[in-house]
Amino acid sequence: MLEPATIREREVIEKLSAEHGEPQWLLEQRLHSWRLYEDMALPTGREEEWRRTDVSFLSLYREVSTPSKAVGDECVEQGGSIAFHPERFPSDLPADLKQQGVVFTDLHAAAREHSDLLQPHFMTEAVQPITWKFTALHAALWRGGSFLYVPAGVEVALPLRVSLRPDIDGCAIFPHTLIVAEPDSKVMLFEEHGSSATGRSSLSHAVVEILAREGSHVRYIGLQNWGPQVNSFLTLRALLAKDATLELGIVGLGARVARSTLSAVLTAPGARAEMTGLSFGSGRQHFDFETVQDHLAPDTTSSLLMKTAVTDTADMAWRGRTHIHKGAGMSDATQESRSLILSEQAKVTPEPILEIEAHDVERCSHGATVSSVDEDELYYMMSRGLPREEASRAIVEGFFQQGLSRMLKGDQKLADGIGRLLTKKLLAKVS
Amino acid sequence: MTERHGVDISADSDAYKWGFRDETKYVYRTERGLSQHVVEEIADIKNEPQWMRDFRLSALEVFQAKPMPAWGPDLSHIRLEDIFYYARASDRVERDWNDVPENIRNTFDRLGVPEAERKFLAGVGAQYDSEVVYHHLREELSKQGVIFLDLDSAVREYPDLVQQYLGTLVPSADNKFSALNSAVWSGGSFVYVPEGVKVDVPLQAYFRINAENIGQFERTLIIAEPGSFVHYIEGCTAPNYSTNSLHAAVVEVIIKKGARVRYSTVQNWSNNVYNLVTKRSAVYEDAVVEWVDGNLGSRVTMKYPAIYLMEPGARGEVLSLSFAGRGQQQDTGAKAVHVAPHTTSIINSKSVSKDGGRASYRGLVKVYPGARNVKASVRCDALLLDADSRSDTYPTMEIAERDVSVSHEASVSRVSEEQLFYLRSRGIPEREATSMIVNGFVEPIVKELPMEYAVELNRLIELQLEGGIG
Repeated sequence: MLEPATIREREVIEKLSAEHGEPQWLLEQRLHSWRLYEDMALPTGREEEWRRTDVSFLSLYREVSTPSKAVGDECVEQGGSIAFHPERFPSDLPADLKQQGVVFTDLHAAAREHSDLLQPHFMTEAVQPITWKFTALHAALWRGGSFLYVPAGVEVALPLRVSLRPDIDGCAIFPHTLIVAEPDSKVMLFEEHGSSATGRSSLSHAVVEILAREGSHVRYIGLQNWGPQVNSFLTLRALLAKDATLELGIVGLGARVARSTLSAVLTAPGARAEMTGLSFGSGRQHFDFETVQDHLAPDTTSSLLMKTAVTDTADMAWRGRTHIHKGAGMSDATQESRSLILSEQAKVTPEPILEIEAHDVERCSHGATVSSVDEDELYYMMSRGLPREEASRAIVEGFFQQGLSRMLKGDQKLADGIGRLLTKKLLAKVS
Repeated sequence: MTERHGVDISADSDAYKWGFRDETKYVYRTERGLSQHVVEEIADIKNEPQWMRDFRLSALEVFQAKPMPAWGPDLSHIRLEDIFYYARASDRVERDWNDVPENIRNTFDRLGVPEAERKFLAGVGAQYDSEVVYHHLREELSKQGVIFLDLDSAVREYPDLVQQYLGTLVPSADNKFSALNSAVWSGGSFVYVPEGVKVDVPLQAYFRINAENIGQFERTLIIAEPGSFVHYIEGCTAPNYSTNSLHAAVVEVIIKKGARVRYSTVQNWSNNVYNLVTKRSAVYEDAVVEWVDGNLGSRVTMKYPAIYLMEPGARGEVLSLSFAGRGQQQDTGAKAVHVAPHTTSIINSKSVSKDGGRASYRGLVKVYPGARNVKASVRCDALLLDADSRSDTYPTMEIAERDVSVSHEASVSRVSEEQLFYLRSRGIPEREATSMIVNGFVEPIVKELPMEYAVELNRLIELQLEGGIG
């Protein structure tokens, strides 16, 4: 039996919950998750999926609600609990979409106004509190985030966008995103997390849940551009029903330590997931991507492209797991990883994993390469009059451009926007 | 592939034709289980120098302190306390098969070892449970200074050489089972090839487990001096028992400037053997190592021959072939560690899974900072023959240098209906058609073995396909 949450945590959580006028079920879920959090151990680093990122520093957050012990305390003490200030939530959802029943709102409002819609899905299907210690903490202390609900048959033509730039200095934040795409609906969401450079170490543990029902089409693009003091964790998991399509793109640029788990679970025939990850590491940045292509049903398709580049002393780990379960025959799964090393001391550790329990796979393959900027290519461009550094930057830009166009087919504006951020970082770094 | 060939293994246990056993009287056997007493007893029996006794005892401490591996196959069925860690059936290492005790000689006759020696080997070592019972090297090679001995004799006859190299590539503390081997090792080969000597016919060691619940812990050390060449082949079999046996070997191969060593294994343990082996080679300037690793038998195998490329120009290659039949788990692969610039490694792995068997490739390519102009390629192919079987690929690359070209590719496929249809339309029955497809799949690796072993390996694969060994 789990002990009831201690008075102090109860107070903090109750206050947070009351502040947002949450329904009882949500408060209970928070309290239950807090007990889970207290019960669970931190990964030791011996676990396969935690070998590349040392999370022992997270023990600092052990007593997050006890004053003067941990980073984030002040936020709690200031009565703000855990700081999170989403920049104005878009309230200008076109009237016709509202009429069709589309809900796109901040998660607290959703809990008040659409409790029945939220309760069956919120941290029950795609990402459960018990996933690891910090998803439990997330479920106890989450604050802020988006809820996107698209009713059956509705196609949202315009891309939706949320930009989160909280004042995260010295705090721990837990933003949450839940997307429910009902049968035969179509939607795209672009989310950006970012902050300016600040002095103190901060923590973000984000959770993104995507439920793509039968025949739906979901495109989710996430841009992580935290300031250099942020330790960023992301747990994203998408469940795909029959004939559902997921197009997932993640761009990792910021943070000091960025650990992301991206999973697509293909639960029924015809489900298709296309995943693209782009990341550029510099300075002392540490990136750790875990991708999962989980084929539970036959006739499912997944493909993953990871394009990463590192310079300075940055290091980039990727552990990509494709699992074809028993009975998931005639499935087609591919993984491709391309890494560029641009400096003497940068490091990459790609780890493409296949686990195949069905003999009649259509195709299951992976490829990974690691190299530096191609000298021949460089020579060619220099012979055309480009100085070496510009040539080398152009090659890296081209390298990412390929991934961007796969990720953002047709959305030239967004591709240009992300491309500019990449170029900005490249300009500062690649010479 | 729904048709099942052959008959149920439980009703046909002698389909594994090496599963016979001798009723051997053991000259000496330690008590069950492992303790400091047992380790000291082994050192006593062998009348070992103090340094070796200390080596064993400190390894025992490491073994006891280290947890079981948290990754890979399930090892919880190994009952370490039930195992006999040392059993000897013969008092001496003989140089003439006629002097080997009759029942042991018969065993090796049935395994075809003396015949192979007459036909195409330069030297043979034969180990029966814990001790080597026979060792012989052609005279012209010993005249050239080649040493081919069991490691126990080498500790006595060439203590300086052994002490200089033993445990340098695989320290006791490397992993739990290398620590176990270091504590209780017995038997195995010592090969020394002097500068410039090329041993143009292979040396072979044959390892046989006979007793039930035994652990076999041989340890092999190969030193190839500059410009030399040797091809070392090992084979292994054991009787079928209902209880498990443990084979935990350590192999260290040192290959100096411009030398080349090829190390070939045809592993065919019966499917009650846990085969947990640490194999490692250090390759110096312009030297070459080639591991040809065939794993057909055992219940669980964990084996990842490693190449450490220590100096510029070093090259290494691993060709790995695994066949996982019923109840088997082959967790095999390779490691290539590029310490120096201008080094090359190639890893080629092929696995076949059938009747619920699980074949996993597990590997590492590591490039240290400063190891410029490194080329490393890994290629894994897996073939699944039925719906119950499983194939996994767990490669890791750790690249800390930009001037490299590293690639990894893997694919998993099945025997396709089209291929089968084509062959059947040519009048070839399905069973033969499957076997042709499998043989075509493994051919690139099998052809790297000497003809006699290639034939043997093909025959083993044939038997596996019939469900015989499973």
